[in-house]
Order: sequence, then C-alpha cells, then structure tokens
Amino acid sequence: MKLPESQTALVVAQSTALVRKAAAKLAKRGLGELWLLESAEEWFERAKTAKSQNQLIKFFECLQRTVALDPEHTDGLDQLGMAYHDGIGTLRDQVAAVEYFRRAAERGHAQAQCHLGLVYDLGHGVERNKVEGLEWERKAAEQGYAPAVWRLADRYAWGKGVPRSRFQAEAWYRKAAEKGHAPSQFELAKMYLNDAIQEQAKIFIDDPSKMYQGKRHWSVGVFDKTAEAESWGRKAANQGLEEAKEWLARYYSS
Amino acid sequence: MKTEIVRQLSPEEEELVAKREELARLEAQLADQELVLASLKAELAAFEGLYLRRVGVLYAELDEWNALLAELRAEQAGTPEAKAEADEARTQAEEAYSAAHGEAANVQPFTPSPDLKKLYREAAKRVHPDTATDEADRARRERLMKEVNAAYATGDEDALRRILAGLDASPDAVQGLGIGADLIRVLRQLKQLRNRIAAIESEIASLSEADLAKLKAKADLAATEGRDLLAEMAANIQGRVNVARQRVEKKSDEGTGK
Repeated sequence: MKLPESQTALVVAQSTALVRKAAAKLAKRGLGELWLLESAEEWFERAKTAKSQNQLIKFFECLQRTVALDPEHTDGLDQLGMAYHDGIGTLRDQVAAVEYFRRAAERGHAQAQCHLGLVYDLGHGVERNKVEGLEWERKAAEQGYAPAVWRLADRYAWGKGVPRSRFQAEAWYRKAAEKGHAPSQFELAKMYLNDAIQEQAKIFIDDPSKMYQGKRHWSVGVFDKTAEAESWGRKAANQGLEEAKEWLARYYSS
Repeated sequence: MKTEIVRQLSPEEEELVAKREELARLEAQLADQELVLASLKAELAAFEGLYLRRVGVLYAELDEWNALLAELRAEQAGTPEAKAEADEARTQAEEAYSAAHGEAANVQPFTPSPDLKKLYREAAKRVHPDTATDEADRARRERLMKEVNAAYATGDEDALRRILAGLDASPDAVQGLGIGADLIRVLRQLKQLRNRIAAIESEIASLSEADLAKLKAKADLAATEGRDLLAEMAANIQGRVNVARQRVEKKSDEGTGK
C-alpha cells in the first residue's frame, strides 16, 4: 500500500523530527557521561573539596561517582556509608550505609570496620549483634585504628561485651595513646592516678597513723604513678581535650 | 564652467537621509549577525556529524547488545516485567541507531573560506527578508534566504554567486511614491531589522545552551589541552560494548546449554 504524496512527506518530516530528537538525546547522554572519563581518585578529591566547602549534595554526588568508577575504592565506600548513615547530601538510609561500610570493611579498611562494628553494636540499619560488632571493632583495633582501639580498651575497662580486664584495657589505651589519641591519653592518666590512690590507700590502711602526715609517706611507686598520670593528662590537655585541661588544672591546684 | 544647483533639503528629506544611513548600518550589522548564526549552526551540525560517527555509533552498538541481553532475559524469565524491559531496551536501541546512522551523521566538517563568508554576508545583506517592502517581495526573499543559508552550510560558493547574479538582474524595488511614503517604508524596515537582530541574538543564546553546544565546548577545551575528547568517550563506550557483548554471549550460551 502506498501513501498519498502529501502524507509521505508528512511521515518523512515526522521521522526527521524523531531522528533529530534521538540525536539530541545522544548528545545529552554523552554530556551526562563525561564524568566516566575521569578517575575515581579525581572524583574522590573533588568530594573532599566539596565537603570542605560545605557543598554537601555535590560531596555526595562525587562520592557516588568515585565508587561507580572504582567499586573497590575503600575510602570512597566508607565515606559514602557515612553520608547515608548521617544523611549528608542525601536522605538518611542506614540500610544502604551498612552495605557500603561492609564493602569497605571486607576489603580491610580500618575506619569502615570500626563503623561497621558500631552499626552492629547499635543496630543501625542491621539487626543488632553485639558479637559481630565486637569482631569488626577488634579488626579495626588490631590495625591500630585509634578510635577502635579506644573503644576496645573501654570495653575491657568496663567489661562491655568482654570480660573486664585491667591488663587488656591498659594495653589498648596505651596503644591508642601512643598514637596520640587524646581521649585514650586522658583515660590512661585517670587510670594511673587511680592506681596511685589505691596504692596509697593500702599504705594508710596498714598504718592509719600515716594518714595525717602528708606526702612524705608516699611510696616511690605512688610518686611514679602520679607522675605518669600527670604526664598523660598533660598530653591530652595539650591536644585541646577540654575535660583533660580542666582535670589537669585541678590536679595542679591539689 | 558648470554650475551646480544645490537645493536645500526639507526636514523630511533630511530625516529620510538619516534613516537611510541608519538602515544601511543595520543591514550590515544584520548581515554580520546572520553570518554568526549560520556559522554557529553549521559548526554545530558538523560537530554533531562527527560526534554521531565517532561516539553515536558506539552508543547504538551498546544499546543493541543491551537490547539483545534484555530480550534473552525476557525469553528465559517469561515475566511481563522482563518483557517490558526488553521492549524498552529495543526502542532505545532503534532510536540510537536511527540517530547514529541518520542524515545528521553525514554532515562533514565545516571550514568556511574567507570568500565564502564574504559572499554570504553580501548575499544576506541583499536578500534579507526583513528588508522587504511588501509581502510578495518578502516571500521571494525568504525563499532566497533559505537558499543562501543552505549554500553556506554546504560551502557552495558558486551557488551564492549565482544567487547574487540573479539579484543584479531583478529590477529594484519601485521607489518615488513621495517623501512621506518613503519615510514610512524606511521606518518599517528599520523596525523589522531590529526585531530580526534581537531574534538572532536569542537564537544564538539558545543554541549555545543546548547539550550539543556544551559538549562541543568541552571537546574544544580538551583539544586545547591536547586531548581528543571524542576519542576518550569512544574508548570508554567501546569498553562497555565489550562487556555487554560478553554478557550476551554468556547468556545465550546458558540458553542453549539448557
């Protein structure tokens, strides 16, 4: 069947318009995909810049592109997890956050392991599982990631999820403190001062007559412990930890 | 010795002279603007042709593999959702193919010679529809202007020369209906020219806003850095084409393996 000539012309004109539209669509598509030509690292750098300029939506988009270009970009995965967890530049989606933390954590990213431990511990976007939480936290701590080390030390100090162990707590606090983690330094300071007081208390209990005779009855061990407490307290205060500053001021006024 | 009789111009005549001078200036300006617009259009069309030939064809191929994959999936799954997805993928593939292998893809690079530009400016000035004095004249000029634009886009200098020669042969517009009538006509022409110049400006602005122009700007910028953006895009899509093809092959092996 043949169309009348005028109608054929119409069909041609219509199909030309359709082809024009399709070509315009291809141009739009190419423009929209130019970001694929850059590296994940470039987009991650841009994400960091956007964050520092408080452009949160841009920050989020740059992170998405980072992990789209490199699905194993662990820094990007972890940051994207944080963005979803806290709703930075996107709607809060804690289930998605867990998946991103997991992807980075399974590839050995310490911070993501710590984050994954935390969301298991709190039951954010995943069924609460203290054992799993502890396991991920320990992995991060074993890599020397200070916040995880600190949390683990805290667990041992207070017996949270692990048997209480003064020895373990001190060892983990010290590990973080030596990496310059201020809250851990402060915990050590308090711990050593507590030791000093315990030791002195023992002396007084053995001979209460010494109670009113002041510092000259302090043992060498007590002096050592207070000195160590003071030293860690000062380190924490020097890093600007308010609690430690206040504590140190009171310590000196004693 | 000849004596020259200098007649004092009446105020209307002075006004007419001034307006005619302004008209001549605007005609020149309009011809320049038409040249800018025609060049922009031709450059964009040429870039589109290049883009469709180098990048568009790969998009079409990618969409074809994706459509095949969706169809294989639909065949195996047999669900209405899979069928709908396959139909959608097929439509997109056909659309991309029609664009990538259509007429727009045949447009060749646009490199106008100085002569071509000069001829175009001259022709645009002489035939411009907005200098028309009546409707019949306007229709004739509009037709001619289309020919001028087409000749310019294809770089056809001879066609432009022919159009100009034809104009020389055609009689000048009738004049001399009196100063008042002349003045009214000139004023109307001025208004038309100004309108057209404004229209060209907004057309240039909207063309520059289009995705194609943005893409061209990016490609031009990349070229100044010694990069070939279209080649980079092509390489990227080629990689995705290879992945898609492997998926289709794997899927169709699964299908026959059953």
